[in-house]
Order: sequence, then structure tokens, then C-alpha cells
Amino acid sequence: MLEALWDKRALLVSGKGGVGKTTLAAALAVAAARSGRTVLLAELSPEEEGPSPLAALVGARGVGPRVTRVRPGLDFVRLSAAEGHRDFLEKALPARWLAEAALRTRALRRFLEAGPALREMGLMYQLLTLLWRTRPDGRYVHPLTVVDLPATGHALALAALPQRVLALMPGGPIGRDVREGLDFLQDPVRTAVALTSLPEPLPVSESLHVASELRRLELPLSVAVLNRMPEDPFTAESRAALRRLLAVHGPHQGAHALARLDRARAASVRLRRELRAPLLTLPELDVTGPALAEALSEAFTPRREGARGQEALP
Amino acid sequence: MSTGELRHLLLSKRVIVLCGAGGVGKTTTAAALGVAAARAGRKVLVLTIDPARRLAETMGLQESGAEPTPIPPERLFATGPAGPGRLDVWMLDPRAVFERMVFRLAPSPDAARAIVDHRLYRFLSELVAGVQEYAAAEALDAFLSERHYELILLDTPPSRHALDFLDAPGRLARFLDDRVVSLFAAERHARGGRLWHGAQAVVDRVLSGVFGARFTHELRGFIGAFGGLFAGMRLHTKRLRQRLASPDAAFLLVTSPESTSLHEAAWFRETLEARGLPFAGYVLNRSWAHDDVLTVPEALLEHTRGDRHAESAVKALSRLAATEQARAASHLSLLRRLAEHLPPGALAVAAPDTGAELEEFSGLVRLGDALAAG
Repeated sequence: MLEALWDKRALLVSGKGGVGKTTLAAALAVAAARSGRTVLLAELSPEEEGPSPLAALVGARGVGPRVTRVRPGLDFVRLSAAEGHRDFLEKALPARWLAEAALRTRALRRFLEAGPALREMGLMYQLLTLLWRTRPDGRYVHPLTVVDLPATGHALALAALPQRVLALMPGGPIGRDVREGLDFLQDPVRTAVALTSLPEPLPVSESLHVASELRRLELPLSVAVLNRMPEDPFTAESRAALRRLLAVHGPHQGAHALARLDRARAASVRLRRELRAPLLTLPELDVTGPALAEALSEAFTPRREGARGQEALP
Repeated sequence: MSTGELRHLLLSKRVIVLCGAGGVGKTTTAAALGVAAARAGRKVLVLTIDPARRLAETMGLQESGAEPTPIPPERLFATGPAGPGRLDVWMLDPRAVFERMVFRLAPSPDAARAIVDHRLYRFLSELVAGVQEYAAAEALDAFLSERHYELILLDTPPSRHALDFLDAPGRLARFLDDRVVSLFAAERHARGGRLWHGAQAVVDRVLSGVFGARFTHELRGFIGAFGGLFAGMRLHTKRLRQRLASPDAAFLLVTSPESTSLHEAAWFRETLEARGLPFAGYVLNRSWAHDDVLTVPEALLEHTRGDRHAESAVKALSRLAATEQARAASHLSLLRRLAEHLPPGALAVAAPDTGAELEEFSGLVRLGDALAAG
């Protein structure tokens, strides 16, 4: 399943706040780089100030609109609306001097910074520009780009943006570029959306809602990731036996622990049943931050020694 | 740890702002603190944007109302003695607040209607960065002026950098200030020197070159109609900042034990201090830093009566207990680290991972008690 994801051109990682979306994006990018791809990890956030948790997770030193190398095969960028506006004006306007004059005009700069949806369009435009960049030999600079999307509400507004813009301004250079971008994002061969969720009722409900929105927007949901699934140490028999014990014993915290496991299992079953996409379940690990991103990326990478070991078998 | 101090905040402040990364449980915390403050006797408003629907159900609210909704006293005081306190909750509908603002600032109802019915207005009110933040700031300012409530708890909008609600109105105002608007306005103004006319010529060429003539025409009409409305708005922003910087206000940072959210909490704290806003402490949410984690599963052994499955169940439960205890220990040490570097008077409290318990109002009462026990 993952190898198929590595062969996309763009992997968009989405999810509600607090479900581990950013850590997952970092882990996927690291794993793809390990399997031999040259990967760009891009942070797409409408708020460009402040610290970048994503940069911290992969140990990127420079946080900004310039692509910086993090480790072999892995680059990082924090997308910038201003950079996208520049790319766009330079391409759309007949003369370079006009683009430069436009960017020097304070009123126009303000308009681009705060105008309805123009910020988001700038971010998307820089992303598309980076996606299309090629080397002198014609190959893409980054065959795969992993994008850490903002939390769900914002991400859906972003995803709906191309269609809205097309409805408002079907003509002109914007219309043309937006249509091209939309074709790219809706193409399941080139684009994959990964949806992150937790084994709790509310995140699962929200994921199912996002999945139906993605279908409506015709964006290809390729995989759902159920994060932090608690380890269940019980067999069917021992679970039944534990219930009997708890009933006899009276109040005991074991009941609470069991209820948590039951809730996680029910959430997982519901997600699997109602979501029309493959589901990848990740364990709950007792580390956080870069160590967690690293541990998850290892879970995504087929073990080389293991593979060799299998080959050695008769 | 320091739950008494949190109770003191609830009893003495006029406004408490909850900040933190998305998904750390700000809304739930705001609601639980609101319940605790009202049960302690204060007239409380919880102001929230876009909360999880489940919380709305827990509170017995409609999706979003035009006004604050009172929580019936019989629910608020279902357990314990009734008191003089009351609790209202308002789930802001950003679009409704924004529209009301247009009607208030426009010279006439017809002018307001013309703006609100414009095709671009819908686009703007759905997508412009800052409408939610603007709505929160506007509503907070209005309630602080009214003095109808003794305490307002603001659950900041689900933006990554929650202080945006202080900046966004200014950004919106800058975008629509007279100078920018006049550059886009259809007719050429007599005022302005050569430089200004030069700028307008560039804007002309850029707009029609980029957006196409039809959209540019539409945009100009709209910005022309919208322009000038925003002078009053900036004034409010300034007044609100002053109120939030006063000793009547407190900012609580809500964080989960995840490193990404701790990172942001640290950044929020620096930002608050740099702006002279009163940082009051941390709420460590979704944590296991409490003392009722799973212990002594062996206590169940006395009932196993030699049942093989029961014995293996207790063994499995012991493994689970070990995991829970390790997690609790690590979260407790995290809480201690948060508490170590606090300014005088600030607090660090842990809220339990409430899981499914918040399906009933009593869950909020319990969480409020756990956070701010008297």
C-alpha cells in the first residue's frame, strides 16, 4: 500500500487538530526518502509565523519559503503566500518590470496579503510551482511532495478553493492555472490524500465527514490512518473472564481501562466499515516529537535485514 | 496541584482567554471552567466558535444561535445546592456576527443589504482570513462593554496561532482602509500626487491582466461599497487589547502532552509576554497526570478461583497497568517541568483524559471540579 503512495507526485496529509497529522506527515516523508525517493516535505499553513512543529520533527534548521535540505533525499519548505504571488505575477504579467512594480505597490501587497482567499491561493500556487520544477535532464526535482495540510476546517476550505475561484473568474491566467492545478489534485494517479484519525468516537465521526467532503470535491482519498491504537492484550476468552471478575469485584480501575479498549475497537470497526478507503492502523507509542516521527517512519519502511533474512531461507 | 489557584482565577477575573494548538481540548476546558465558575456563584458566559457537536449536545444547545443560550439552573445545579450563579453559552456564528457588523457600520440598511447580497460578499465571508477571529473579538468587546456578565471565558478560534483573534481585525481593517480602497475604486480621485496615480496605473494593469476585465469590474464595485466601513472597527481592536492587558484578564494555555502542542504552548507564552498580556498558567489536557490510573490488578486474583482464562486476563491487565503507570509517571514529570518555570502567581494543572465521559453534563461538572476544586 505504501509503495503505491511513494509513486504519487503529491501526498496530502489531513486530519483534525491533535490527531497526530503533522507527525504522520513527517514520518511518511522520512520513510519515502529512505525507500529511495527524493522527497519534498511542505508545510501548508495559512499562518506563516511562529514556530514550525513540522520543521522541528524532521530537524530542519531553516524554516522559510526556501527549500532546504534536511537529510539525504529529504527537503523541507514552509510554503509562503508572498512567494506564490511573486511566482504567479511573474508568469501572468507580460513584463517582468510590471510584476516587480506590482509587488512594490503597497496597496497591492496589502490586497494580496489580506484579500479574500488570495493568501490561500498564493500558498497553493507556490506548491504547484514547486511540484512542476524539473532538473536539466527533464526529471522532476522532487518526484514526491508530502504536504502537511492545516487542520480539517481550513483544509476543506482550501480544497474547495479551486472550484470557487473557477466559478468567480473562469477566464484569464488565474482561471487557466487553477484549472490545471485542479486537474492535478483530482487525478488519483498523481495525487493521494491521507486522512488521519484517532480511535475515539468524535475523531472518527469527523473523519467520515471529511471523507464525504473529499468525495464531493472529487479529491482522491487513498488511505486512512488510524493513529495511536492502544495495544489490546486480551483474547476473547480472557476478556470475557475479566468482565466476570470485574462484576464480582465491584469498582475497579480495570473497568475504565477495558472501556477505553472497547471504545478504541468500536471506533476502529466503524471507520473500517463506513470509510471507503484502505485503513492503516498505527500503534500507540510512548514517545513523542522527533522520536515518534522516527519510530513511525521505521514502521513504514520494510525492514531490510528482515527481507534479506527471508531470502536466505530455503 | 494548584487547583485552588485556578479556582481563585475563576472567582476574581472578568475575562479568561483559553489559547492553544487545535485539538487540545480548549472548548471542553472552557465549558468545564464555565460550569465550575457558575456553580461557585458567578454570572458566566462561555464564548466559543465552531465547537465539536458533541459538546453542544452535552450542554443541550442548538447548533448555533444568534444569542447566548442559558443553561437551565436545574441542570447546572443537578448535584449540590443551588446558588446565585448562572451560565450562558454562546456558540458564535461568525457569518451572523460579521453581517451584524456590516449593518451597524453601513450608512443605511439599504447600503448594508447591497453589500451583504453581493456575490463577492459570500466569497469574502467564507474565506477571508480572520472572519472567525474578527467575530470572536467583536463579541468579546461587546460583552465586556455591557458588564452583564461577571466572567467571560473565551475559547479562541480553531486557528493554529490563537492570538490571531487580536490581529485579524486589524488586518481586515488594513485591507479595507481608505487608501487601499481608493486605489481599487472605479473613479479616479482628484487627490493624490503623481506617485499615487502611478500606483493606480500599476494596479489597473495588474488587476485586468491577472483577474480578467469582468472580475476586476466586479471587485471594484464591491470594494468601493465596502470601503470606509472599517474605521470604527480599528478603534474596538485597540480598546479590546487594553482590556485584555489589564489585571482583570487572564490567558490560560491549554496543551496536550504531545511535543507539537507543547512547542506551540511555549511559543504562545513568549508571544503573550512580548505583548504584555497576562499569562496565567498551563492546563495540561488529555493527560494521565492524575492518581487514579490502573493499579493493583492483582486485587482481582482473589475471584479467579483457578479459572485459566481469568488468570490470563489478570496477567494481561497487569501489562496494561504497567503501560498506564509509565505514561502517568511521564506526564506527571511533564507537569512538574511546566510548573518549574512559571512566573509568580501562574499555575499548572492537569486535566484528565475524559474520553467518553463528556456525553453528559455531569461529565463537565466533574471535569470542572477536578480542575478547580475549592
